[in-house]
Amino acid sequence: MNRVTRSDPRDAWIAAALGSRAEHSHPRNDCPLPERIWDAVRLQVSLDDRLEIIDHLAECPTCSEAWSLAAELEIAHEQLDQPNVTAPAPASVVLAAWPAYIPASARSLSASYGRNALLIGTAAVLFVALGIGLLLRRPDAQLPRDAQPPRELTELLQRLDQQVADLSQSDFRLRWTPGPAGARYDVTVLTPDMDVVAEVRNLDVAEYQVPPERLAAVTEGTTLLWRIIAHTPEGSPVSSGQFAVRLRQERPSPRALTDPARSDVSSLPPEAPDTRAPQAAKIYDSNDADVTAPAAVRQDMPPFTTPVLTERKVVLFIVIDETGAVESAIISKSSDSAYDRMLLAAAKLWAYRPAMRNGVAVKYRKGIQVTVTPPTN
Amino acid sequence: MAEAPRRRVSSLSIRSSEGFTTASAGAAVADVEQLRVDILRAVRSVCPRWLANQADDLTQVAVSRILDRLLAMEGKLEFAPGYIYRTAYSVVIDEIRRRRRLREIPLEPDVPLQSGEANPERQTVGREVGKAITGCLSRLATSRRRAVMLHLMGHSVDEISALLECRCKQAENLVYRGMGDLRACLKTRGVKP
Repeated sequence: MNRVTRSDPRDAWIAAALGSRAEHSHPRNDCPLPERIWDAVRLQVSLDDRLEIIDHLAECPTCSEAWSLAAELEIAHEQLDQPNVTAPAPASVVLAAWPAYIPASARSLSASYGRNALLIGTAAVLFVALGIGLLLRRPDAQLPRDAQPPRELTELLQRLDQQVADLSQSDFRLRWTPGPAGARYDVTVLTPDMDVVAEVRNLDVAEYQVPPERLAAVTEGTTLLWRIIAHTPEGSPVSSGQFAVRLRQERPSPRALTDPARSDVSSLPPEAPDTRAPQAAKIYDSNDADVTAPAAVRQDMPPFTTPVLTERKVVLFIVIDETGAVESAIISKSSDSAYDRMLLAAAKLWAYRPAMRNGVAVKYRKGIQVTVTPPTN
Repeated sequence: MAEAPRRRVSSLSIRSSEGFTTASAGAAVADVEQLRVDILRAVRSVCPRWLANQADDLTQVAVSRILDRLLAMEGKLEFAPGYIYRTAYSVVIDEIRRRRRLREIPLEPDVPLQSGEANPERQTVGREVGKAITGCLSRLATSRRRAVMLHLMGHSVDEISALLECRCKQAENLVYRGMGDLRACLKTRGVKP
């Protein structure tokens, strides 16, 4: 069967004629309220109500014009249409309205990474294209035992490991595609244990060199995870996905050490001051029986706006610090790249009563599984 | 992650397309002005060309609606940016409907109702074709008619499947067969591309 597309000239002619009906039409007395049309375009009314409105469109040119206008705005403001969302997550509203930020270093140093990202994105879009229905979420479901770290994290790192670039300790420079003029960036670099190696805010350039002393405690060959949150001039945050980069330990060549005449000796990095990063606090998890797990105070999930056909799961691991704030977050099982970014940005705003061990607040790694199911009707 | 700066005036707040702005019932004139600017932008993006010169008036109506709702509510309220667009859209559609109803009243002939490109002959032909399409649509099977309507209004097969809550393949099939029926019906009425 030929795929029907709007590029079919016959359809275009009919569509144009259909559209022109509105110019000569008079509204009927039973037209739905504009707000109902707006909500129907956005799948925010029941199927029956939607079908009733669609049936009305065939007979009412004014309303079909109104529908088309709402649909155009739906495209233009796809992520700005969550009425009465009370979650304090402006990021969740605007995230997908901006393209993902792909690190330049990742693109240039590993071309396959970009291809994989594109394939993943394409696969996500294709998957979404099959979906129908609305969101029913079961956040924070109990994770199956085999989904607990470190297996999930290990698998994620193994996947990322095939795509990482190597950077040396003295020139651990992360670069990414710049955002709009005036954008500022927050960068977070994590160890595989989700310990924060470096975190910087409000950068005005699209690159960041991790200070060597921050990497002093990281062993050679370790794969580090990093991500960027860009803030547009309007204040809208946009989060990238997770990227990986491997630390390549720098060893000065014997010649450089023994040949005092070498002109580049003076350019060697100065000896790192003895200000190594303090030993990171141990991160506990559900395997530690003597630790009371943190309790959620605020854990608002961003809305999953894409229709789904089959059940989908997203598994997220967060590290909750001693104050109950989310120190770091990572997606270990992805479902939709756009939603992953929204979830990561939202996770940074969550708050918990911290985990306790012997009466002392401790860091805790928590796994959260978000299940998206299609509607039952 | 740093949250967008938020200004607080009194107890009423609105999250606008520019991040977070606030407005109060009486004191925050500047905030209401910012709200007006946000709404004007939304109205302009919604307004059809022939209503563009009414954008300021429509903005005022939309501002009034939002402030009325804010004043009617107690405590803090927050609206997602889409709320402003939804309100602007609603005001514009109400105005379009009002204008189209006014066409029946001959005392206001100056209302710019038709596009500049229209001419009487084209209008007559267009009216006849429109009538034929409406008639043929009404003869289609319900499921096909729905799919065809959405298709003709520019929705992709994926969007149609989401709106009708059916499989993509089914939506594609409905569109394909429905368009075939529609073309055949138009042909019998002497209308063909």
